[in-house]
Amino acid sequence: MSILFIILLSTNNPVELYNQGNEYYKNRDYQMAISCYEEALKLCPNSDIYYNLGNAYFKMNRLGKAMVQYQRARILAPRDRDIIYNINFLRRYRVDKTTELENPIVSLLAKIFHYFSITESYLLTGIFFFLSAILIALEIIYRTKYLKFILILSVFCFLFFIITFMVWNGEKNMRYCVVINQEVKAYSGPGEEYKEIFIIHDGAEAKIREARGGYYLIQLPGGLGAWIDTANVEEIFK
Amino acid sequence: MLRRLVLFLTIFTLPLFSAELNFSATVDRTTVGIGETFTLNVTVSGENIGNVPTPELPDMNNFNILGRSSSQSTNISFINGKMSQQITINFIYTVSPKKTGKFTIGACKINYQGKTYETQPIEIEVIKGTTQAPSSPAPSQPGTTPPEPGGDNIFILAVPNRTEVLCGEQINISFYLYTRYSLGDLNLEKLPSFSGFWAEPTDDIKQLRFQTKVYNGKSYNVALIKTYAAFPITSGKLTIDPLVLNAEVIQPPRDFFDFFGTSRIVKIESKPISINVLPLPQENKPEHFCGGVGKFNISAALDRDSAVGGTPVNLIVKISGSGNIRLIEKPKVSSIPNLRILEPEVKDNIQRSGNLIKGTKEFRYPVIAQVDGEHILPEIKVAYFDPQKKVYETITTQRLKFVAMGTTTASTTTESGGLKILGSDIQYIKPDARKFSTQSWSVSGWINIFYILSFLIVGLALLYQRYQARLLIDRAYARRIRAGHLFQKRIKQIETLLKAQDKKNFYTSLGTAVMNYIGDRYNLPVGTLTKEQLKQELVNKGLARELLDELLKIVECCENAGYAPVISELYEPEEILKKAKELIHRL
Repeated sequence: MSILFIILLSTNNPVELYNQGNEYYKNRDYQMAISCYEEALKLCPNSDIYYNLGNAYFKMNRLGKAMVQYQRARILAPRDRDIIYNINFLRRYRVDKTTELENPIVSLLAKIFHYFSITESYLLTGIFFFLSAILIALEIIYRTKYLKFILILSVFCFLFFIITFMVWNGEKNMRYCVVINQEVKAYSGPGEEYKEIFIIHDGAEAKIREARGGYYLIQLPGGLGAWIDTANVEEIFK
Repeated sequence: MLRRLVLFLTIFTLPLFSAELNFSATVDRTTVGIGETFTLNVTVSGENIGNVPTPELPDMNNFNILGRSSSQSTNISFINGKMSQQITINFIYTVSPKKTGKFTIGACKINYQGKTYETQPIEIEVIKGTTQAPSSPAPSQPGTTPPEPGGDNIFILAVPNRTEVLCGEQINISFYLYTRYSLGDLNLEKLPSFSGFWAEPTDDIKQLRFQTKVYNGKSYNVALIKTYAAFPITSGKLTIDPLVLNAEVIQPPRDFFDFFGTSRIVKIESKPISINVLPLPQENKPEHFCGGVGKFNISAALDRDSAVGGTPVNLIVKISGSGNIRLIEKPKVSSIPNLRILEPEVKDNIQRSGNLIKGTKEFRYPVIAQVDGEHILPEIKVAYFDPQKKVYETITTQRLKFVAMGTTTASTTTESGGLKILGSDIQYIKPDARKFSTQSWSVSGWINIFYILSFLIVGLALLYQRYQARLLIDRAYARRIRAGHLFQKRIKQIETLLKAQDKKNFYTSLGTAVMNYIGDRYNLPVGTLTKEQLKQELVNKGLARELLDELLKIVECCENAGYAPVISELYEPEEILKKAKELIHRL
């Protein structure tokens, strides 16, 4: 293993590392595949590497770790069906299943505003702002009906992309995390001496509300909150 | 002359109401020798009580529990037309101490209809050696003869069909009333409690039918009161308690005035009978033996053959036959990968035909598939003991299968139509790559150029708009702005004239061009002003005098040349054009 590691580290090309990881994955040496993918990610963050790393973690039965990687992959490539499929698969596979039924309107809006990635939406916000500015300038000079119509369209596009960007940015600031250990006890305060509130399992998703003394106050989708050791969770946006 | 008496024993089953419980624990002795055993009897009794859970035993660290059995007895009394049904359930534990000393058996607990009942703790002294042989239980008081009348003239005889049985094998016990008296009302005071047995009454006696029989040389009226089928739960010597009956004995009239005779209530009890219960043979005892003794069949079925969306399928295992059906334990179902088999729900249905106890015990196991596809439930083996052949028999269910869909993904449920779904997994990894496009979570700053450019463009548009507006309103401004442009236009025309060697027109055009330019530039009516007036105006506007002089000189020169071609030779046309351009530029 250590010899292989030296070989691994000797190559500095993320593409080679990634392909090497795929080779290990095919041979079911998931541990080695994970090391390859992680090295590759240090050099070049990419959705495909995150996705394959998530798969390797899943095959090792590390659901939480896999979920973190899939979520990161989704931020980079939000339209990738494989990533979305695996996230949904994991949500049904894990111990703590999502109990709440999603509101169809909310989930549709979430889908729409996650169609473009954060970088795409930021770029398109800029482009549509610029386009709107040109159209406003032309409107000032020429004053025609048709220009006004195009201008309104352009402003709508700008608003759509700025909302998409703000949604992503909000998620980034929300501090989403995933439980990465098999069974984690959550307490009413930051410490084991407090009362146990619930037990949460590998792969469960939550928001970090507060951090204090090596403990995070996490909040589950249902609204339930409790303190757990920081070692038990991994943040999606590190 | 014997009268045939008719007695109505009416047995009602009343609906079960919530009722108070009597809950107590007793031991058969409080001093035991080490190595000996004693019985802990936990009794639950009450009127019309329903399903009572098994009591919770306290910590018995100093004792070993060797065996457990339970029995239920119902005491129905019918007094003045009012019926009451007293149900007593005994949980009997055979206990042996581990060491000597004084110990306390803590409180046993039971939860019934939301209430928790507790028993009093019991002190047990464990001594070395053995205690004196306990005086043989004599509940029938052999020394005291039943009060007169009684004795030989009226008694109850308990007759078991055998006194030695295998554990779990059925025995039948009949209780007969022997009497030489005329009897009035009869009242069953206490039915026998079959401790160590599961007993089922097998009679449906509504009327007592007396027959004449000779017993010990005397003639009696004999009637069958009650019959039971009993199945021993533990092996060893078991005792069946007496049945107690209150009988109204009518004595014949002693004299003429005592017309109806007198009657008195006599309490009569049967003698306890002891049964020797032999354990089942240990050799060849199959692993999947489930406690059944008798003759049984097994069948298994699924309530549905497909499970959609993670709903459970019920595996129903039915064991039916004759024997100790109620004592059969749940069959062990081996764990199957990708299936979760939950604890079964148990139902039993006991019937009897004659003295034989028959019935069906049903185990409902909810089975939850964790993976899509076809699942096979293997055969379930159950062994029972056949007391007639004296061998263990094994019965087997058939293999069952069902299809699960949509256990993990909702999308696959729709993929029916002949397609067999075997399982579900994550999507496969992405293929190898040649190059990675750069992706990032953080937004790059160069996009901000768009915003800067946007503001610039709008600013410029606003400036342009203001300029346009001024051109419309401010005439002087408009003339000044256009002056240069017009002059350039004219110069171009003049240059073509020069090329055409049209000197006359060249000079006149140049002159007007310069004059018009000055007029436009300074917003002056050039045509109406004299040279002197013009000069004065321009000086007032702050124009340099030398520049003005030179300009006017050119204009003058052009005018003269227009009329006198000779003078024009003074200035070469190219030179004068160049000079005019230069001067205009300097303006």
